Amino acid sequence: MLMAFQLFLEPLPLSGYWLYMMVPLVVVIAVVYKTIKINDLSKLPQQAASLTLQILFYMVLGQATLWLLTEWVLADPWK
Amino acid sequence: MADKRRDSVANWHFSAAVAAWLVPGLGHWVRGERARACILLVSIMWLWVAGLMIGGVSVCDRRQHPAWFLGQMLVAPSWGVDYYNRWLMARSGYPSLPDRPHDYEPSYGHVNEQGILYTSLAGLLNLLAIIDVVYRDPQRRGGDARSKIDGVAT
Repeated sequence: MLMAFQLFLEPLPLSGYWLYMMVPLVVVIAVVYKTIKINDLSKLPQQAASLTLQILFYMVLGQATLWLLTEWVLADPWK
Repeated sequence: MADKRRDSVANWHFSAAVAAWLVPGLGHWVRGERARACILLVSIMWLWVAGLMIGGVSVCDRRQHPAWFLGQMLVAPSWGVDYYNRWLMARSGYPSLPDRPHDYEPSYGHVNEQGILYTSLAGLLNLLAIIDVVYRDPQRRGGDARSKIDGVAT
């Protein structure tokens, strides 16, 4: 029997995309931060975009560093 | 000397802070920064509503995860969602039994985590907005962006 999906009462089927949901989160964080910080809001889009890219870059860099650390530096070389 | 006067408690805008807690962006609207208010309202509320859509209303539950609720409660409607969630669980007889299934099930796993993360961060971002509206003077910031975009002098 097909049950009707109830928005807000049932979760969206996004379990497999949880990592990609970080991107809109980072965008909103950048937008809100720059909205509060800058005086001239006409520069908001470019400054928010720049901050978003920086955050995503350093997140990826941190993840890559941790991966290298666990897979190469700390891993048993004889396995 | 002017900075000390501006930063004194007497110059803080507590009513705008309460307004910002009730509705994200309302504090800036009250202070006259309309464009900033609209941006904050849309962005923070989008994040909060998206969290509720992703994980369902069960993401706001101060008994299950009180630490995360400390962030969520910085957006006032989260209290209402928490009460609604508890009402749903009480009405549906949670937890369910094999011979007594219920029509409401809290979310779990990645979707629940993402929903909690979204709503908590919406609250923390609203805290930034509240702190900003408490003691910032719109005139000293150079006026609202609307005046700059439209070319109207402030």
